[in-house]
Amino acid sequence: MMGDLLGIALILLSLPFFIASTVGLLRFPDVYARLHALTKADNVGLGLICLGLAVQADSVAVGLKIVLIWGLLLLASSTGATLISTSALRHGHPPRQRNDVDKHAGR
Amino acid sequence: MHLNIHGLHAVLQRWKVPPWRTLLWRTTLYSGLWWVLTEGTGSVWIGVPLALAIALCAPLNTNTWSAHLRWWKLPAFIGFMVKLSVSGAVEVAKLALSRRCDANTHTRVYYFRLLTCPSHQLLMANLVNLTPGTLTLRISDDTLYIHILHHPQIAAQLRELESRIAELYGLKHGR
Repeated sequence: MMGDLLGIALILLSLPFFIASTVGLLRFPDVYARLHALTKADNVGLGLICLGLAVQADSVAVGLKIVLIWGLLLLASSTGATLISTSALRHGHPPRQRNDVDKHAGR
Repeated sequence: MHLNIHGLHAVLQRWKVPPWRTLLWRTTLYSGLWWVLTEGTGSVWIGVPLALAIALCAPLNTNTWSAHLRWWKLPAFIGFMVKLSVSGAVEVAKLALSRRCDANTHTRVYYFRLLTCPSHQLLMANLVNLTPGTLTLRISDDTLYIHILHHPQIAAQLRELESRIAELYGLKHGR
């Protein structure tokens, strides 16, 4: 019972991170800033969901499997972010600098 | 096909039995992975021989795991990374949801001071993506090109991360 409640609480806690990540994806000015939202907020949201499911799991092995999935996704997401940014740089999308004016910021 | 056979022959020539302690560790770890992946219902008679076979094959031509990795420091390191990751997520979330989303983005170059091995540098490049406000754009020639999102104390944070990784691998001048 306690495990279920804790699991639900952790899953609910993950929602703000996913929402913020999606909002960041829409509002941030360029591909690099958007990758920040995807690699950080999403990963923590996913981690909370995985923990929430792990504490509700029937056995230790299932719980560990869910945590392992989180670890592998962290690795994939982090590596993917660098690959995307390297590719974007190579294809001529320079990152916005401090003094660049972004007319659409804060939409 | 001819080339493939030659390549296989060269790989097999380089193969040698790993030290028994390494073999034991790897077999235990892979057996554990088998147990987790099969949710505790997989047959031991398949899992352990498979784990042993993989442990024997894994170091065929590359040293995938550093012999200097200090396992006992891993929990503290994971704790450190979880803390950074959560604070990074909170920071990005605050910025994304702020009324005026004025991300003060810029880029900077970070030169490795302690990490010289490419696999350690790659680990740091990956972990930089999980720390607050930083994203690895490119890694080349002992240098990380980093994109920064609205964060003032990047240099100290990156130095600390590098020191922690160096410490994890028992490198000189680690913290």
